[in-house]
Amino acid sequence: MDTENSPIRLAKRFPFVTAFWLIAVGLSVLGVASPMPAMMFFAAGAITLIYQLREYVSGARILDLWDQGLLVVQARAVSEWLEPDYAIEKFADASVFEEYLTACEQTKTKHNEVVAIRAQLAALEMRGDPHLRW
Amino acid sequence: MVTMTDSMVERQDLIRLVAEVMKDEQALKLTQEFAWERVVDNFHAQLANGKLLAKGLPLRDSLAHRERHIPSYQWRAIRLQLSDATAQGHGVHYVGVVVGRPKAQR
Repeated sequence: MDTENSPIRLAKRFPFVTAFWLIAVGLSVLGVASPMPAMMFFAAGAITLIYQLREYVSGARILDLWDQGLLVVQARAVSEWLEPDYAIEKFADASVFEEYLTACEQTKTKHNEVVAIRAQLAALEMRGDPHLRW
Repeated sequence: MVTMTDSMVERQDLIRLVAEVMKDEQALKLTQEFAWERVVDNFHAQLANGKLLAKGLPLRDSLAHRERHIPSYQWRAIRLQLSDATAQGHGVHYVGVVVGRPKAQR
């Protein structure tokens, strides 16, 4: 089971709601013939709503919305959004990226040297000199 | 006594040479890795200081939520995975990340 969504975790997060639900279910099971269970269900829903509203009106949430608003304004000046692997090539500082490309080129050249020498060794082997049996 | 033929000498020289070149190749591969790390660090620095903007889908309770802009301060805690376009760290997780640069800063 996904622990992030486990009922126990949700129950711990919303203890009052859980308690109301449990009481309402208990009353229903016991067959209490009154509007009590329905009211309890309704109360549970109302408390959930209050929790959600509280989350929205908390200072952190407002600051977050403010941040997002500012970012949206800044983002309007972005002409294209790129996947990170393309973006890094395009937006990383040219000097730093150039350094990386040079390193790649040097490694490739050295690798080609290794391949060429190995080819020479193989050619030597192909000539069939009996002293060169591995 | 075994005498060394020209071919044997040539082979030994080549083996010695290939060993040296391979050592150089390994050193260059390391240099290349360090250079790449510097590129990634530079990219992160630009995200953290707001020169670049990023947006993604926050992942909460295993569900991708509505796209939002990633605040620059969060880049101090999260790290971008280039291969799958995700960013995560310290309980924050974004998927489908894209990056852009505001025109004024080009």
